[in-house]
Amino acid sequence: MQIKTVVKFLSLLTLIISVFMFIPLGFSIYYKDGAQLGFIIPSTIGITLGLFGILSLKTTKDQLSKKDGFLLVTLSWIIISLIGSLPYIISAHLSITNAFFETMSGFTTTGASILTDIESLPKSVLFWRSLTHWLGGMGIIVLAVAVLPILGIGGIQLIKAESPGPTVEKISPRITETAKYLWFVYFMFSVIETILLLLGGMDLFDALTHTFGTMATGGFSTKNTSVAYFHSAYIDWVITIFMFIAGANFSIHFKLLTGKFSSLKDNELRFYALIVIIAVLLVSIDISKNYSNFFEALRYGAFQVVSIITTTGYATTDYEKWPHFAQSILFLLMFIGGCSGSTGGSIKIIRIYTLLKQSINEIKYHIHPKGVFSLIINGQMVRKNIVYSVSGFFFLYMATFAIVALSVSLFGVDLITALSASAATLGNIGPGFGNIGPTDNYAFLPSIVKWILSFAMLVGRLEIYTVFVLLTPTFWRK
Amino acid sequence: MDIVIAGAGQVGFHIAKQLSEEKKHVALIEKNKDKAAFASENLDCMVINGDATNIDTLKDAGCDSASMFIAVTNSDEINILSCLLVSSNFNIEKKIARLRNLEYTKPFSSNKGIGIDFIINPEVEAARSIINSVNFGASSDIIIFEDTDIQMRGIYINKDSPLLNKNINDIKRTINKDFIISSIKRENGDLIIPKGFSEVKEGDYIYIVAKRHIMEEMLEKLGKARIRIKNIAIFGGSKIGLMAAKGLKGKNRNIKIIDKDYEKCKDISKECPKAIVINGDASDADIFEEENIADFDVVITSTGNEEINLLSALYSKNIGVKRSIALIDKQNYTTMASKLNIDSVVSPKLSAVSSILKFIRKGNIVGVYSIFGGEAEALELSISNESNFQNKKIKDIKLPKNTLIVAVSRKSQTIIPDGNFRIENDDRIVMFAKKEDIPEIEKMV
Repeated sequence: MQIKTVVKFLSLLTLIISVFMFIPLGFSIYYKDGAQLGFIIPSTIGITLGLFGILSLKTTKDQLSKKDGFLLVTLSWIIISLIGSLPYIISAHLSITNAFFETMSGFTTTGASILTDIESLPKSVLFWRSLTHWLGGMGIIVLAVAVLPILGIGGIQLIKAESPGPTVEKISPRITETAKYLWFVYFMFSVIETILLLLGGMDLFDALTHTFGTMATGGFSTKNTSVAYFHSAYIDWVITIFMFIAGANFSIHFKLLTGKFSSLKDNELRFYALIVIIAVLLVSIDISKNYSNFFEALRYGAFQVVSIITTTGYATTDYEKWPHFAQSILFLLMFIGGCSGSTGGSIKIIRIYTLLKQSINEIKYHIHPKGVFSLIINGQMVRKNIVYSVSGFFFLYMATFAIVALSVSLFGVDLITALSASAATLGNIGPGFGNIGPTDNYAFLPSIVKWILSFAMLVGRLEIYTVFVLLTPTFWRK
Repeated sequence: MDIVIAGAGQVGFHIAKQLSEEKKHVALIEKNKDKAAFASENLDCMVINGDATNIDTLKDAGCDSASMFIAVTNSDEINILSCLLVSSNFNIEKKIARLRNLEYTKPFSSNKGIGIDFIINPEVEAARSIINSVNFGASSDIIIFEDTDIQMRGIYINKDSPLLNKNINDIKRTINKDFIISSIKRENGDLIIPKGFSEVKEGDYIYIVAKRHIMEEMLEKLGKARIRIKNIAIFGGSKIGLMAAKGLKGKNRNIKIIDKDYEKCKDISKECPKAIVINGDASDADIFEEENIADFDVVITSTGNEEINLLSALYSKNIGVKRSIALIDKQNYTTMASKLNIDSVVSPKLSAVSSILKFIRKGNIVGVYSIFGGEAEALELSISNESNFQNKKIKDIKLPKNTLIVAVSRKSQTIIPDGNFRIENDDRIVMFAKKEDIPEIEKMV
């Protein structure tokens, strides 16, 4: 194992995160909210440790192995969450458990919060809270690969361990450029959304923080009542559309920007759009009696459906007051998630699509035992090992969901809350049902449950395998 | 520079690796899904799973904007066809094809208009290396630079070597001849461009650069005296073996070719009437005894099986053959072979890679020889008027850290230079560099 290279990389990430703390520090000075120390202390520590690590360790040229990659990515996420939680501890006086939960929830773009009164926090801390979303959304490893060309070939392994979906598409021959393009597209969409939100009457602070929450499919708002605070149909629709965009594959966005419109034919994208349209229609019809007319129902229905399927977790209304059918749809959408290569979490459209097609084939095999049916996605035959990997993922995901729900209920949490908390953290969604619905928060849960859920968020963000391989004895054997 | 490579076999993979590490944009087309997946995971380049003769695949690979197309799939026909397709549909400056079948080489190299700018034949390259090696005594790996008297030879340091545990300054003092130790590959895989105090250790593989006659004296001191090679045994009548046999005949040489396939033996005896052709198996010890191989000067193992090549070359040395040359492509075997006292290892694939790289480099670089499996390169450059090197002392040239100028040839005279040597116009210099410094050097010349 290349301990030195791993530590050096971690130092680099520490440095990057510490530098990003200057942005909320700027806000803090501007708003005079007295939270400056909360950023100065951690970034000084981070920069010192980071520089020390980078300068004192020599890296060998040897490539990082796959094993090193898994370890490095998991450790990276834990370490940035530790550093990222310092501002909460120092400036918002949160306990370590709460601060870590909030930061993990931020970086993994979950959006589950332990804050009971969000608006009482210093504005700069709230900005940092949303910024963690934005950094975690496209992936910090992807960011590191984009800005630091030193990684070269090892980069693809790392990105694979971090990024959503079963495969990583190279949109440029060089991995550093692929990473750059992805961040570029992400950045562009963020700029556009911020401008559109500004036009809708938000101030820059709110526009930026909500853009971060949307583009990263995170869900942290700076308001206690989330997006509902703004009472604006325009803002609701802008956020709905950008959540939908963030839940689609960013490689496709890049291709569209470069004029390759044929990528709109992508099977996953179409299936994603189909699910969203059906779910929006069903929910809107079901809830139309709760609202004055169908278009209003459509506005709230579309927002909530897109918010849940993309695993964002914003709310414009208390969906727990909706009819049961609509609520059931939302609960099921928690297990679907965004497309591969998006910033969304959960199981991912491509996996559901693959399993669906494979099960149709299995049914056909029962009718024609000697028939030959192939699984074709985007005109390419899908290999057996991909199907196996996807089925394995599906099982592990559901098993983790069950185990987390069980262990949460062990500490006195009711059934609905336990089930939805497990689904909402593992899928990086945020709000659930029961006591953690859109109008509630995670503050009341016992500390141990918060740690379990933080772990679930990490497992969900890194897509199960990356974290679970570390838990197997074979990983540590030579 | 954008480069499209068709075929992710050993040669394609190697070139893609080399070029992508030099920060060039490389797209690799591979038909086989598993190979494509492997390349995609291990190389920093775009991999397209598809057919190199499919116009859409070529487009996907970026042929629209590429400046070079390299066809190195397993099949000559596909290589030709894809080059033709590329030249008729895209505007790519240089097209390179690997063609094994010599029958194809002629018609395509004589007519540039047909769409292939450079043909590379790994078998011919490998046979040429074997012939070179034998003609220079087969005592070590050898690289000969064009139009100079300079040679570069690889030597393995075993526990009896007189160079053992001495540093470069000491070695220079004791041998007191014009030569340069250009690189040391340690047993743990580290590659060092040595300084005066670098020490030579057991298990090192070193490359020495010197003029021919000095090299021979040195080899003698290192226990590898030049021998006259008269009796040559070639195991395996492959294309390479046969070409080598043809190239080596004459000079009263006695050549014996051993192949296990009877029909092939018949063909060989027809093509090489002077050689003695034996129908037998290289892995069979009796054949060595029956045919008296132990008394031969050199054994060349060129069967299609690398393991047999390695083992029978080793066995030959053990029973008393003076020199052995083995045909080996797998890189881990190559390193092992030099440790196992096999005098020279020839790799068709690496020679193909070398000559493709040579073609890719800018005009001022006339020769490229990749060594240690591509980790370092010996570059031969000609100094033109615009060159950064012109009229500068070697110590004043701002070369990347691990780069060494090992020889200069001026007006048919060859000099092993020191730091005060001044480079002039029209010089040809031989330089030794690690792969990560190649792009920078390319920029300088």
